[in-house]
Amino acid sequence: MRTRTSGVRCRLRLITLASLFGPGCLCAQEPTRIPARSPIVLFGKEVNVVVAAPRALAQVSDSLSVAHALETCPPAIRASFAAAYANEPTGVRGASRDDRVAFVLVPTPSSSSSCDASAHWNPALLARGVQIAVPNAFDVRSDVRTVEFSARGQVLPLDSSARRAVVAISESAAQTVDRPSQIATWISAKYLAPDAAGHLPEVTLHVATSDSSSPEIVRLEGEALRDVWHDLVVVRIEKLGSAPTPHAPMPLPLPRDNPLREAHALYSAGQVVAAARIAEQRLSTNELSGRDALAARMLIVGALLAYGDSSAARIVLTDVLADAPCLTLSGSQAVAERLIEAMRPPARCSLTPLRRILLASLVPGMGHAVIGNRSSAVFAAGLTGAGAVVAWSLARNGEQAYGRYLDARSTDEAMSAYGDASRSRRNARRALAAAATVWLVSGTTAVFTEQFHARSVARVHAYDIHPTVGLLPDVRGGEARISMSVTW
Amino acid sequence: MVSLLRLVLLCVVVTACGEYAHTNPYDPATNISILIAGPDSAHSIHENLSFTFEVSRSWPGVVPQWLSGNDAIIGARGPGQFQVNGNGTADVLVAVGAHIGHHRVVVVQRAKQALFCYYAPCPTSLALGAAATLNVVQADSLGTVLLSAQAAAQVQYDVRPAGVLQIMTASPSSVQVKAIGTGRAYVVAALGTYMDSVAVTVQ
Repeated sequence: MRTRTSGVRCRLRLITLASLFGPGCLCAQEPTRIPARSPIVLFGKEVNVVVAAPRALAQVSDSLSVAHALETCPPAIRASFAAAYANEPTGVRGASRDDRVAFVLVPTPSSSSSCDASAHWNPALLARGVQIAVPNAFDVRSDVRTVEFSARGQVLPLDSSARRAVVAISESAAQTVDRPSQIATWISAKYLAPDAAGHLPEVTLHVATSDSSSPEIVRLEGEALRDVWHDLVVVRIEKLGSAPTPHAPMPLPLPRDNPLREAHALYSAGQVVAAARIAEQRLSTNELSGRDALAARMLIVGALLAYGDSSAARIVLTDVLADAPCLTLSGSQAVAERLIEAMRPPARCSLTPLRRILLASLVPGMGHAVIGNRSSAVFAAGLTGAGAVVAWSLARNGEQAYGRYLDARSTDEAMSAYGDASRSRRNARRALAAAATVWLVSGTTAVFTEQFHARSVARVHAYDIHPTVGLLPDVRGGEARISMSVTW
Repeated sequence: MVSLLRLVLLCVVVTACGEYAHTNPYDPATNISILIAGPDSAHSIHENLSFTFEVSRSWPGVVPQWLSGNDAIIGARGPGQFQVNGNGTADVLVAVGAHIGHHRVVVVQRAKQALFCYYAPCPTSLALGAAATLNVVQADSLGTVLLSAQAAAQVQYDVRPAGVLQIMTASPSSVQVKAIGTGRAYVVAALGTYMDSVAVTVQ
């Protein structure tokens, strides 16, 4: 799972609320923010659309950005905020294990106030229903609320359980206003599940102001939800806990990464959730090789499918198939194979015999054509043809110059014509050699490309029963040994 | 299809062949052999010499040019025709395009004639007991007096009939005779088969 705030995760968890208002050294650190998408104009104001899972919001709410933002605020506001924050018992911290999705409209930060305005619109705080208002800046008429939410053409119910009153903080005191949570909207993730092909739905938010009758529409492409889903997958893994799996986990090959080997051992022992957690942590480090990253994702897919969560599995499988579009499972995993088959991106997973490639390569570019590399085929054929045409043209010029040479009746004329003829012939030969080189390289690369493709396909063919041969260092009694394991 | 075949053929030819052949006679790199046949020596001024040539190949429209390497020795008179103008060594040249064939000719005058009193009249009478010197010049076969620095040949002198004149001294360029009797006698100079004579009367 990709978590953009993962690099500061551990550090953030150690920071308590009290530290937000502690020593000033904290304020010098870089604030953590949920990245916003391209701004849109809503009711004449430029806003960012933040779509996030509670897990991500919880990390931001703990982040130093709050302290950094409040550093420039008057002490009274900071004190009021501390009180409001402490008295808000149902914040996203408690909901971080929820698999709901928050849609937050965040006005672009303004630096007009000495008290950093970005703090007013911190998405995590807003998702909690906490709003900081500097004196005279809190205007209830500018509040916005979500009127309607639709995905795949259907109006979906808003999750009212997460709606909370807004806590407006002024210079003197915190004031709780009982009205719909402005800007923050929660929706259950089940309505945003990917379809059978792995495509996420396009979502539409109808947003209105409290004093406006004509809502404005905010459209978000389905891919905007993919990052959110990566957080949701982690949440779902955490929620699975140690419940028994309704389905037997599919067998998976042994990875090379040592922590992943431990995860694989747990997975094979039936502790799929623990294995998935390790796999997720290893993925977040971005230290895995391509093959181990595939193995880690398949460990997570295996865990999710063992619990029947095909929606979350599809999210991970999208990443799997992006790297290995030809991945197949054996006949014993027919259900999972059907799941993969429906999501498989357009890719050539067939193999072309070497003899056919070699024969086809006799025609420039055809070697690549028969293995499906149309652009390379066109490029090679075009380049070879262009070289041949240039060579032919130069050769013809050389012949014409040689004709002038034969007809010349003075030494100067003869030598000049002969120089032209020789130069044209040399250049023609170079062009022909270049064309022949392209021809040869095209055929050679076609062969190597197909061999590489064949190895790639073979590596992920019947992945669940794919044999893996690994060498493990073994130290016993002070003697170093290497043991070999073969796993199907 | 024909164009494609031409293209392939041309490409193959371009690849297979080396440089273009040097075949133009005006190209110095063209390999041409020019052989000139004719006399390689001459011994008389104004002697006409004829030459012929052979060239390894011919080109339509390319006319060979006959030239003399030194007009003071051999002068060109026409295609293959030269005339000797002086002593020395000169080349007969044939130019075919940018290529020139050489044929060396050495001209050395060879004395074939001995002539009495060529530059001034000889004495025709002598008093008994007097002596006279008769000058002799030598000339080549065409009558041209030997030019300076040319070696003179030995001349045989004789007096006919004997008893009137007596040869006192003789050299290739003169003979001194003395009148020893009255009468008419001929002093004869012989150079090879050529002879010249002068009549002297002794009184």
